[in-house]
Amino acid sequence: VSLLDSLPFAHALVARQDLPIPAWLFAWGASIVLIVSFFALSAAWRKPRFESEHWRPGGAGVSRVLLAIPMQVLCGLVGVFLLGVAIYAGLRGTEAPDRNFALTFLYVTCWLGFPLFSALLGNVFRPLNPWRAVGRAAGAGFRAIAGQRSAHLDYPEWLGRWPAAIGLLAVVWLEVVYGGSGGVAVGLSPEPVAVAALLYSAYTLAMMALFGVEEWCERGEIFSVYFGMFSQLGSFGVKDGRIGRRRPLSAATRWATIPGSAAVVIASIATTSFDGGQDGAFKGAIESVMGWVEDLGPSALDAARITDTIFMLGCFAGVAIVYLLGVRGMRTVKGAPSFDKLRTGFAHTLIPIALAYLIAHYFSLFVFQEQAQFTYLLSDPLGNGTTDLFGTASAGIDFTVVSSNAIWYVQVGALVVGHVLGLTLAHDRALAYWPDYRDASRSQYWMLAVMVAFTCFGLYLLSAGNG
Amino acid sequence: MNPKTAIAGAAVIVVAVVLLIVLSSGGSDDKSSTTDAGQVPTIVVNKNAESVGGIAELTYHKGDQIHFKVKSAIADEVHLHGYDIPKEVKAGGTVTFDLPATIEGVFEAEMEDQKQQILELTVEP
Repeated sequence: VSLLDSLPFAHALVARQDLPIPAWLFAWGASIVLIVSFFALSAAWRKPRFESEHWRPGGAGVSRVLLAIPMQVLCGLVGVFLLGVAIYAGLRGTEAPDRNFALTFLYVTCWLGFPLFSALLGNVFRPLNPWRAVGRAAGAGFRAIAGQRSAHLDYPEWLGRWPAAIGLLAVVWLEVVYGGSGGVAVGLSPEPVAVAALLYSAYTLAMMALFGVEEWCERGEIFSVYFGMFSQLGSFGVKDGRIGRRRPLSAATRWATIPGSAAVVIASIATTSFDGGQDGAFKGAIESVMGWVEDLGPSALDAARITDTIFMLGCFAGVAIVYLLGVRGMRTVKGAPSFDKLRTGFAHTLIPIALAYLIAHYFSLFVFQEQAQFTYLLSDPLGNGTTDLFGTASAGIDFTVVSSNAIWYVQVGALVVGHVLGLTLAHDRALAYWPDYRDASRSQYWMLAVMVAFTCFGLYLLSAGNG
Repeated sequence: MNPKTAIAGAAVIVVAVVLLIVLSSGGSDDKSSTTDAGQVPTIVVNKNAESVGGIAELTYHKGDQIHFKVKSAIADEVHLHGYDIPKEVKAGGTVTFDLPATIEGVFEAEMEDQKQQILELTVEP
């Protein structure tokens, strides 16, 4: 009996796990990626197309309604209410992770839903952000009483988005390391998540008081930064008080200028990789290391958590090294800008890869758990049978809604599309940095290698499954 | 790079990848050995709610009949997740699961009260 088998076990959030993608699909996926990549290099455009937004403001009436103060207040109240329900359910509801509103709402509906909907619809989290709403209300209250704006500290420029990057690692750590160590779901119970949400709320409001609400949302607030990052990919945005459309992907070209932005997108790819690999590709390695750690004295559970933490940080280091090697390679091409400029300047090209990883790894989880979210978790948020608000408390999840084939095609399709979008952004940025388009193309051999590495690694993680 | 070189390069790599896959898949192990016809696999669960010999693995294809028994040393509920079938078992008793494989994926059966996984059930398309 291995160490893993001796750990306490509680079933994970979802009852149906994906089958590994079959070898033939892996081969097709990898082949398409390589063919697309070669064509991208040879037949690419010669002038940057995404550096300017081509902003087209939408109808003034729509903006007036959607951006009106009462609408902002309403959205803020909805955000605060839902966070409140989640925290209350986490503290007072059932311990069963799959029956409690808190876990599915926070870790599936929000954590996975906002990246997807942000990429499609723009920054939809911003109006709903409960901490921003409370912070702004507090600021308005202060102005009304004191008759002046509250003073804030200057946010240190060098700190940039690092608090968000570290926070992102912490959010996923809570879910998959603290809650699901060692390839066996120890079972993240709803209560620690609710406590974490309360602590995070206090921390966020304190930081907003120190540095200002919008400043902290732009740089330090994990969820604003993370969801906001994905919203840069899409077409919709707000500028000068008007909702409008821009060229898709164009906003992303300016996103990474704040220090630490590269760390945010790398953390996203790394945490998804770790979660995808901990039951499959990395399982053997994790078990070996866990054995060594346990020999040093900690309990089996602590050993599992320590080992998983090491592997998660290892993933972060690994993804960072691959990216930095690509940047280092680009430096060798004639006429290259400085290493720092390249490192910052190409970070946004990884955003589509990060979104592709999320879709590839969590598509089925999202489809299954959202059925729970909108049926029994909505009617019985505490999960202990005390309420049946909408008459759906006894509903279940229909696991047959998507076949394994459908899941595989979505997974491979997401990785291939993410790869193409990443290459597109990288090629475009190179054209902006190198005066000669031939040098720009040459520099992209390096980014191509980076993208192929991430995409094939993504395919490999999916094919290694959870064996 | 001119288009000819690109196409040639792509072709070479595609061939390489296909070869790699064909070669590497030849040695893959098939763990569906537990579903021999005529013999119903039995998972024996000890007093610690553990499956004797480690977590059992059963593999079926969609449309097959899933058929296995659980013989338990302790009283508990055996819960097959995903298919969501709970069955009470008495101490020293045996319960039988016999159902069509309608949902594809990987599923767990566990001793519900002890929160101990005893089976990983795979249903392939």
